[in-house]
Amino acid sequence: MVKYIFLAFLCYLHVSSSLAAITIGTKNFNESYLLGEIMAQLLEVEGFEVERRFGLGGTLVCYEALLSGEIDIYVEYTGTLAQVILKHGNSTPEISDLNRILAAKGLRVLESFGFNNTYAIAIKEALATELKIDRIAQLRSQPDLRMAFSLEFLNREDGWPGLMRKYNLSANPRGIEHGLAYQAIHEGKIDITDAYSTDGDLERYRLTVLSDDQGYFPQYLAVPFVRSGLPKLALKALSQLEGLIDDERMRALNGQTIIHGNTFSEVARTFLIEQGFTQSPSSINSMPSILDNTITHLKLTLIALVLGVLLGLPLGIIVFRSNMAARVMVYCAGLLQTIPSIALLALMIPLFGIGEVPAIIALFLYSILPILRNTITALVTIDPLLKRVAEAIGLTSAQQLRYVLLPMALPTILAGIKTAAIISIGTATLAAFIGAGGLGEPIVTGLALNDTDLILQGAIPAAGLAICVELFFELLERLLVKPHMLQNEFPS
Amino acid sequence: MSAITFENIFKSYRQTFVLNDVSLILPAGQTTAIVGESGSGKSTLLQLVNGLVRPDRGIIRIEEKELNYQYISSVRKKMGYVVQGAGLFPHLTIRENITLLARLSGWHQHAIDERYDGFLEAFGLNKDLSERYPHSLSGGQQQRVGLCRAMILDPKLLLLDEPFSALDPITREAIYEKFLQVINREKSILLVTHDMNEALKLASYLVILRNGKVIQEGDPYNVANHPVNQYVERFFVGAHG
Repeated sequence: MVKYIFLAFLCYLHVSSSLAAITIGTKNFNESYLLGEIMAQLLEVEGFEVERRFGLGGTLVCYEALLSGEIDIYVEYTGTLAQVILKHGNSTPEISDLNRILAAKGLRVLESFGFNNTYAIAIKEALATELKIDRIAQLRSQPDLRMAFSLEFLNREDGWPGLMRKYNLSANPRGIEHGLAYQAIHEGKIDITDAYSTDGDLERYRLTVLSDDQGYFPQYLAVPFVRSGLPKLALKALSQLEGLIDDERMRALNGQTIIHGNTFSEVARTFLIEQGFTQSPSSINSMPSILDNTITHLKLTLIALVLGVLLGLPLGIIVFRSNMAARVMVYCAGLLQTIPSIALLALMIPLFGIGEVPAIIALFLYSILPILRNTITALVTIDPLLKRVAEAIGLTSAQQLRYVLLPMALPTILAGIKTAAIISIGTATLAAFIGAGGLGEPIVTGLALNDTDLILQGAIPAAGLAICVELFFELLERLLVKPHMLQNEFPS
Repeated sequence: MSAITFENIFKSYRQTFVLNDVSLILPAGQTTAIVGESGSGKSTLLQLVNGLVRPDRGIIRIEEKELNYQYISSVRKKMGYVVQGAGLFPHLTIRENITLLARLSGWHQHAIDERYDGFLEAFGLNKDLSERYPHSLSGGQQQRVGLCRAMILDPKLLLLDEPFSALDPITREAIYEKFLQVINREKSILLVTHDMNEALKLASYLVILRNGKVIQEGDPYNVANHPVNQYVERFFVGAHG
């Protein structure tokens, strides 16, 4: 009975929260944050309550979150939708085609914002003017230009190999790490590189994009990707953004955050005011403070760790007497450990949604192995003579555990819990990918913005936490374990 | 009355007989020494008594009653158990090692203290050792602590599995002396050893075991004077009770 009331309550919470607010998600890169914030502020102007789940870990996480109703809107690109999500052969699909397939899943895409963030060929503005070129086809007559492309672009069939054939180019480009290419072109080491057409860095390094006059690159039109059940008024509000942002404008907006260091909130607000949405909301959504993030981080880690101990310790105690069972358990826990964290997080969205719950469950699953393995090892390796004596003098199984086995195993068990705690603190930064907050949030945002200060705002407290945990366990060890038990000086 | 009775005990590990049809009646209130080489089955015989090992066939009786495996831990509390190297718990102090069973049995602190102090004195252990840990004691001290632990609940039966064999001769002699002073006549003791000297010194009943079979048993001096074969005779070479 109590269970049913609880379930009903959960349903009520779930339904009521999805009625009350529209949840907007974003991927973890600059442009996605910015468009998410623009949509959020616009909806707020229209009177909707908006919940922001920004910086989710990539296409898979966003899509699963949308599909399961954890978020209502995020910005996707038509090319990505076709290739990655719908596995659609045509990489330049019409929006109506996409919607025909998406309708069955209860999803739809709205009309494009007006820009196409695809691969682009970039060249220094000054050099382009000097050589009088503005189209890719003109590269044929410029064999002396030095080209260097990212390795991915060089090797993808829809990158350089296809481009070379389509435009009949004969250059022999070098490979270069994408992050270094802009620096290299800026310093005049190379002349041409690949880029994303709305990259804010194009602005920063005064680069121009050669037009794809023969339509080689697939289209990556940015579109609001929404749940079909979104209120009509919200859809109407979002449709106001249709065609409002062209490539150049998006580059400029991206540049304002990356180069000039303005916040997403400021840039979005200014943009909306410029576009005539005058009643911009007064509430400015600021990032949570370092303290908030640290507390959230600690909470995620602590709950996961307590759960890990509650499962791993008893499980270890139950199975250690059976070699077979112990092996199977350690093997299973090890298997969990090998699942990449992003994949584990994405797998859990259909079951647990996004936010703190799946983050805690993922951290909990990762914490089982060190706790379980150390518990089993510690109990198994106790001197068999002492185990025999404990049994022979008349201690019951429970008394053997309580008074002999566990106290002797304690140092190793504590070490396992400590390892789990430190791993958890590191892994918990990934929680930001599924909207659980914590110290991963400034790190993820900072990475998207290429903002070292922001990254450090997450990384330094995280490192500090790890050190504190180390010290805490050292203290605990001193309180609970006799010094001679730590040095393995067991008389035989 | 007999302290322990073994009736047609068979025990094998991996198809090799460790005990092959052993029947013994061990007298109460006396010390019985089971002497044999390594692999003779003597330790297995001892562990049958406290249920650490169960026979494949045969019956074990303690004071005429069949061993009750269902309540084995309370049965074991009535038997003291001492092993080679003492087997003290390294995380417990000397006091905690000795008094653990009494505390778990719900004795009054007063009674525990009284018995504890008495034991220390009887075995010639200094009170200063109480709060120390086993690793800081000598082998002889540890073995005496092991004896104290085994006797804390005043069991009528003591099982000693080569408790003195790791000690040097001088320490051993000192412990024999203390041990003989402490045990009263009502205790039944089963001592497993490979040392005939020790058996002659401590035991009033002797059992010679070879390859899982009893070769000879009886009063130690009778056995010494009338060995059934050369094997038994060789055990007494160099021994002087």
